[in-house]
Amino acid sequence: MPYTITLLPFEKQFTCGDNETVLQAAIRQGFNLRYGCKHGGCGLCKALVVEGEMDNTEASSFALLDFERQQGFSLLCCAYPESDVSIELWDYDEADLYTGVTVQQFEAEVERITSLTHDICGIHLRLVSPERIEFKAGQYVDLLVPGTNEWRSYSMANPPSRSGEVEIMVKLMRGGLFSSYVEQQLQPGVRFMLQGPYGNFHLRDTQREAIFIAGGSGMAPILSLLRDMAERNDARPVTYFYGARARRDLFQLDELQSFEQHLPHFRFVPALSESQPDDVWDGETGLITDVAKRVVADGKNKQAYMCGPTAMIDAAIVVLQKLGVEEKEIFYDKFVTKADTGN
Amino acid sequence: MARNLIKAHDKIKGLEWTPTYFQPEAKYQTKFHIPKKTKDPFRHLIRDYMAMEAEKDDRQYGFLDGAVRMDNPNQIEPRFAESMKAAMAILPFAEYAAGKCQGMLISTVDNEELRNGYLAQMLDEARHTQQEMFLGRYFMKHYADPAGFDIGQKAFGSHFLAAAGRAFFETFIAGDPIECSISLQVVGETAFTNPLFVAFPNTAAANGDHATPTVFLSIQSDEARHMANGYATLVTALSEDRNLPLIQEAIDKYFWRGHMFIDAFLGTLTDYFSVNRIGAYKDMWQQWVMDDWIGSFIARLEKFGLKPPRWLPQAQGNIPWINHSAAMAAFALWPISFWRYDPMTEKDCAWFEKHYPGWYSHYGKFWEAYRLMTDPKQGQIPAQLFPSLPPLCQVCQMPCVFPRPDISAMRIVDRAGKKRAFCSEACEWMFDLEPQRYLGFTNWYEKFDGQDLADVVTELGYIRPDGKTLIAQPHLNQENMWTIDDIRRLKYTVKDPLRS
Repeated sequence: MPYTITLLPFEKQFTCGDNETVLQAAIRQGFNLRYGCKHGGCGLCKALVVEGEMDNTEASSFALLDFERQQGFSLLCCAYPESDVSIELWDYDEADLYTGVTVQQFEAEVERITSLTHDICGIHLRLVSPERIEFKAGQYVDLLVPGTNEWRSYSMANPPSRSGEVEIMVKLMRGGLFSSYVEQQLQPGVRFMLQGPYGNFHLRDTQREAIFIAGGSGMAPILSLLRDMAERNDARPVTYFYGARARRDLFQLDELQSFEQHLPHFRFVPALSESQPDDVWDGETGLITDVAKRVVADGKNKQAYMCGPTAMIDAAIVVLQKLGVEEKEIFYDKFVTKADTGN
Repeated sequence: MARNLIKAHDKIKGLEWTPTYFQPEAKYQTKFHIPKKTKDPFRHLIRDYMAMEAEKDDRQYGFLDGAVRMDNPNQIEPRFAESMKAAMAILPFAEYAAGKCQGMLISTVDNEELRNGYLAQMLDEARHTQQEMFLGRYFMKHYADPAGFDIGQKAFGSHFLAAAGRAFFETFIAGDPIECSISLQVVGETAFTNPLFVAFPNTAAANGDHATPTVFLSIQSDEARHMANGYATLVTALSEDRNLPLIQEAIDKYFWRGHMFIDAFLGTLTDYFSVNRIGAYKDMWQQWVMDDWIGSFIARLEKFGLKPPRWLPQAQGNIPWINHSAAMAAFALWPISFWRYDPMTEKDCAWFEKHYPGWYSHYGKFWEAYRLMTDPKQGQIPAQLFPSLPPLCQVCQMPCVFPRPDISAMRIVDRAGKKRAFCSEACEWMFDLEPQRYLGFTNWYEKFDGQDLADVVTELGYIRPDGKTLIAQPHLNQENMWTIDDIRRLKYTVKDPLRS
C-alpha cells in the first residue's frame, strides 16, 4: 500500500509505493535527495524520521549505528516505509531539493501550420500568457479543443530552450475531434488553451547508449530530445529507429541527417513497412521492431526511449528485453488515441 | 536536536579569528580562488564523531576476533585471498595520502566550514590506514600462505604495477591542493568509491572472506563525509567563475588517471581473482561510474558550466577490455609479484566470453598457453610468448596495452631528448601540460634493464624464508613451487622496450 512521505521543513510530499525505497520514490518524483552508494553502506542519505515507521534492516550496522537507529535516523536508500512518514531535512535548500516543474495553464496563439506528411500536421504555437513554459524534452501538454470541453495531449517537438513556443505534431485521423477541427477551421491567429507540462518521458541523466524508437507523430518528443541533446552537446551514442509505412510518411529527414553531424554518435535508421512500388528506397524495410532487433545486436547496458502507437510499443518492449535491455531502462510514451480507449 | 547542532556549530565557528599582527604565508600554492563562506559539509560535533568512530572500531575489531576463532581466513577461496596481498600493499598508501591531503587543504583553504569537514576526514583517513594495515596483519597471521603479506609495504615501493597505484594516489598529495581535492574527493571518493567499497567487499564475501567486507563497510560508512567534502569544495570553487576552466582541467585529468589505475586494478581483482563472481566489472562500472557519477553527480554541476570529463569516450572504449589486458600483463610477468596467481580454467574462460563477448578471440590463446606453463619443469614463463615487454606510460605508469594490445592507443614520442611512451592521447596531453612533473620518473625497466630475471627477483626480495622459493607462483599448489634456480634456468633478461 502506498504511503505519503513528507519532507520537513518544506512540507513537500510524495508517495512511496510497495517494494520501493524512499530514495527511489523521491528520485522518480523529481526530488533531489542526496545519495552515495544506494546500498545502505555510506550514509550520505542519512535523515531523521520525525514521524512514522521505517524498515531499515538492510542498512549496514556501521553506516547506521544502533544509537542512531534509536534516535530515529534512517538511510533513505534502503528505507521502506511502514506508515506515512515525515522526514526532517535540516541541511537542504528548498531550491536544490525539488527539480520538478509546476503545471500551469497557458494561452497560446497559432503562428504557423505546416503539412509534414499527407496525414501529419505541424502546429507552431506562440505562448501569450504566461509567455514561457519550463519543461523537460519529451514532456507533453494538454490542449483544449476549441468549442468543446475535450482535452487532447500532444508532445512538444521543440527543445526546452525554445521556451516561448510549443511545437506539436498532429496525426490526422478521419473523424477525430481535433483532427476535424484542424482540417476545417485551424488557421494562424487562433488561440488555444494549454495545460502542462506533463509526463515522465524524458532523457535520463546518464551517458548510457540509447535506442530511440518512434512511429507516426511519435517523432515529436524524440525530436525534442534530439534537439535538446544537440544544444547540450550530449555525446551519448544514440540509434533512432523510425517506422513509417511508405516513403510519403517520412518527414524531417534533413534535420535528422544534420544531427548525424552535430551529435558524434547519432545514427538515424528509418524503415518502411509497406513501401509502395514507386518508392525510391534503399533503406531498411519491415516492421520497425524487427529492424531494431536486426540492428541492435546486444541491448545490455543500453536504455530505450519509445513513442508511438500502443501496439508498436508493446511489441518493442518484448524485443528489447530479449536483446538484453533491462526493464527499468525502458522508457516510453504510448500515444493512445481517443478511438483506442473506446470512448 | 538537529537545530541545536547547527547552533553549536555556528558558535564554534564564531570562535575563529583572523590575526591582524602577521600575514600568514601560504605553505601550498593554489591557483584557485576560494570564497570565505560556504556551507558546512560536516554535520557532527567532534565529541559525537569520536563516539561514533569508537563504536565502529569496536564492532570491527570484535568481529575480526570472532572470525579468527571461526577460522574464517582459511575458508576463503585461496585465489581471492592472494589478491589481498596486492590490495593490502597498495590501499593503505591511498588512505595515508588522503589524510595528508586534508592537511594541505586545511592549510590552504581559508574557510572554517570546509576546514571543519577536512579535519574530520583527516581523522577518518588515519583510522582507515590503521584498519587496512590491521587487515593485512590479520591475513598474515592467520591465512595459510602468509608470504607476501609480510613484505607488502616494502614491496609496494618496488613492484612494477604497484608503481601505477602509487602514481595515481600521489595525485592526492602532489600539486595544487584544490586539484588534490578533486582527484581524491571528487574522482577517487565519489566516482570510484562504490566499485571499491561495494563491488570489492561483495566479491570478498562471495569468496568466503568476511573480514574484508567488515573492515570495508566500516570504512565506507565514513565515505559519505568525504563525498560531502568533495562536493562542498567543488561547489565553493565553482561559485567563482574564474575557477571553472581550472576545475574542468582537473576533472579531465584525474578522471582519466583514476580510470586507468582503478578500473585496471579493481577490474582485475574482481574478475580474475574470484572463483564466485558477483557480476562483470564492466557492468558495475556502468552503474556506478556512468549512471551515478556522470549521469547524476556531474550532470547536476552542469548548471555551473562543468562538462563531463574530456576523456570519457576513451574511458568508455577501454572499459570492455582494460582489466583483461592488465591481467594478461600481470600474469605474464608473474615471477615479479609477491602473491600467487591461479590460472584461469576453461570454466573461467567461458564466463569471460559470456560477459565480455569477443573475449576469447583476444585472450583465450594466452590462457591456454598459460595453463601449460605453470610447472617449473616446463621451464617457461608466459612473458616469453611476447616479442618484448610492453613499455610503461611516462604519466600513469601503466603498461601500454590499452584498450587491447592489438588496438593499443600507445604512442612513443621524443620528449626532452628521450624516447618516452604514453598509454594514450590523454596521458600524452597531461604530460605536455606539466612535463616537469613527470620527467624525473625512472621506470621499472630502466632500473632493471639488462639484468637476468633471477637477479631482479632476488634484488626485489620477493623470496620466501627458505631463501630460494619465490613468493609469487603461477599456480596455487603447494607442490611444484618455483625456486630462484628455476628462474635462473630460463635465462630471461629484462629488457627496456624503449632502449632495444
